[in-house]
Amino acid sequence: MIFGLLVPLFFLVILIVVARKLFVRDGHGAPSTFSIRRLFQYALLFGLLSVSASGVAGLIGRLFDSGQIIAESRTDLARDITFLLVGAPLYLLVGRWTKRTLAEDPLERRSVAWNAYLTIVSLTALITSMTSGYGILLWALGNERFQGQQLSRFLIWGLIWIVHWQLIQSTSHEEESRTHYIIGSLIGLGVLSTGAANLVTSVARLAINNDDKVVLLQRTDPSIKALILIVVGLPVWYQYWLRVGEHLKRELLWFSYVLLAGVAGGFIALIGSLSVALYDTLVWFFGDTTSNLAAQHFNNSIGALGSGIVGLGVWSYHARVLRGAEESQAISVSATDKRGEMRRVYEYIISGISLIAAAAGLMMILVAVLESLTPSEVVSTTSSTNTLLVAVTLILVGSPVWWFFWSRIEGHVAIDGQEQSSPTRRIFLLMLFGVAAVASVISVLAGVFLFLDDLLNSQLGSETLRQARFAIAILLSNAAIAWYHWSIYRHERTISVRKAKHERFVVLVGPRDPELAREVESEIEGKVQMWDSHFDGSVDGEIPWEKEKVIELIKSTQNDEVMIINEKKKLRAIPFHR
Amino acid sequence: MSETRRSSNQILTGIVLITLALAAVAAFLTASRETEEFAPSTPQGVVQLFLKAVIDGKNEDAASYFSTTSTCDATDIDRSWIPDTVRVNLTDTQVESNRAFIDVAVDMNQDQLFGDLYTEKHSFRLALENGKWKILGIPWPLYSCDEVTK
Repeated sequence: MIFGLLVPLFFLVILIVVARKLFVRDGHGAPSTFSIRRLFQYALLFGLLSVSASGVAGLIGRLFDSGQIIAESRTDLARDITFLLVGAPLYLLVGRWTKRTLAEDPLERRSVAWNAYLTIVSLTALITSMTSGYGILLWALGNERFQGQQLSRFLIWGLIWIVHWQLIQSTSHEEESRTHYIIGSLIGLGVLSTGAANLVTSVARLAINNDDKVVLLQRTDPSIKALILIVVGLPVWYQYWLRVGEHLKRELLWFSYVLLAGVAGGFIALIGSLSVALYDTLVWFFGDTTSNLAAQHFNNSIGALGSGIVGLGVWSYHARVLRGAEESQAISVSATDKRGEMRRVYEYIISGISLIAAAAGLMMILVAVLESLTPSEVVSTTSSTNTLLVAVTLILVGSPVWWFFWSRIEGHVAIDGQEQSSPTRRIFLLMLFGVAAVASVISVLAGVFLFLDDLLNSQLGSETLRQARFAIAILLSNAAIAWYHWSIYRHERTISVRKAKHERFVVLVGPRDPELAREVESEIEGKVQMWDSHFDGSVDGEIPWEKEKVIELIKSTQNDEVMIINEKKKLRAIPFHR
Repeated sequence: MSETRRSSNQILTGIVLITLALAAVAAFLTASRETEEFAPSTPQGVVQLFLKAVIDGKNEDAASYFSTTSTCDATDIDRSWIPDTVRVNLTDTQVESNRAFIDVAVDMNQDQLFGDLYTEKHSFRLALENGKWKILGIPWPLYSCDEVTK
């Protein structure tokens, strides 16, 4: 069934990739490093590696399990032997072919397919090893029974990961392996954070829940599970982020990881946890509780404690990393602009998230008012007070943070004109209007539908208003937020947005030399394309490139976009505009 | 630009004041509002008492509101499930001589901070039996009755 769905999906993906590659120019100029041959070669290599690894791990796992099995179907054995007998020789065959193509063509190592293969295999091996390692540690600490398959899978996929990690280190350039390092960092961070949050939570529960009545039955100690997650996640995060990822070139993917996973992810966890803790406290004192036992009532808060502390840690760590990147790279747009664009992105992200929380609070107040105006309750396990407390909680958590960051942003508006012309600010404001517009349209659609539905079924009444309470509340709270931001935007829309600083774009015309293109690219911190000067079969570019002269010429040129032509006697720079 | 800031700050102040006023209104209305108690002799009252008994776990009491023709009993209620936070709202009442139809909208998890809020609509059928309203069929929160057990 699943394979039936995967087959058309697979072909669709291939079609998209092929079409994209046919119509998008390669980063370093023609000829493209993409080919259909590579796509199938590396897909086959990956498939055969997975099949062989599965077969070998299955057979070794049986050895570890020997003596424990008292009855079994031999189907698994047949599958494992088939995978080994068919998969392994074919893998070796395709592997030899790949080794030859890598040796014959220097472009092969630079190809998208080869680097995608390395990334996918490495990450697959990493995830499989991590899950198997988790199971082994659970067994080692006496929480699970021994499973030979887990140990063999850990050994085989661990070995595959080590081999491919070394291949990446030895054959790939930074820009080719960046995705691999960033995804690996994300996996490590996610597992480590989850483990740390669970550990704090379970320790807090142990400290607070000294009442024997609370826990009746528990199979595995949550603290042990959390510790194992840390043991599994920490080395991955260390290897991927601390050793490599943190030192990668500061570009879009790197900043996306730091800002979205680190800053926004940590901050959302913190805000969510604070909201849960505050809500439980407010309900305990002012609302309707479902349990009179404090340990049970504050169960969610104890759970939130861990994610809150870890969220705060993740947020502050990545904020510091971002500050370090700003300082080391001096990302400021110009000497007149005291704040870097990344600082702005950071502040707008934080203020945006807290604004959403505060807006949700306003929405819930409107819901509470509409519910109170349309009483129809027959029976309830809670009172409407809790609805109001949800609103109060969200406002109390979201609005102070929003105010702190927004007033800081608006403080810069008063100082100079750089803030108003910032692309980040403009994107933030326009995105806000866009999201508000979409939410409003959906609310209007829902509200009108509910109205017409009840009208045409002769059921129009106060119940219609109650049913439409969320649609109306979303519409009104969006309108309030859009109104405030419009009052800011209408004075700024005439201001031209400052263009983001262009990275340099250089075209090298002459004899093909991808290595030179790469070296120049890292030297000038821009994009370099290489155009081969072969024309109608004649070879015009026999004079080899001189790297130092090329870089010197580019640096002496004022324009961001320049073409360097390797002529017979000298290099010539021609500025151009795309 | 200071004029811009002034006008936007005025709007912000307005929004904050309106929010505070709305919160006060909501707090007042919430505090002063009480769930309407229907007379036990009415169809709404019977549904209300039935649901209260189910929520309180008094399943024998709840089963006493079933019609004599119903296949449901207290053990069927034992098998049923309702979420911790549930609110049942009366949406429609139709009484036709010795029959009645009560429509309700059930809000689940509304008062949970990150709860999965959803609403279900259910109908209760009632009939007059010996001068008392009794619930017919398989009423919410039951979904099946009289299951064969070993």
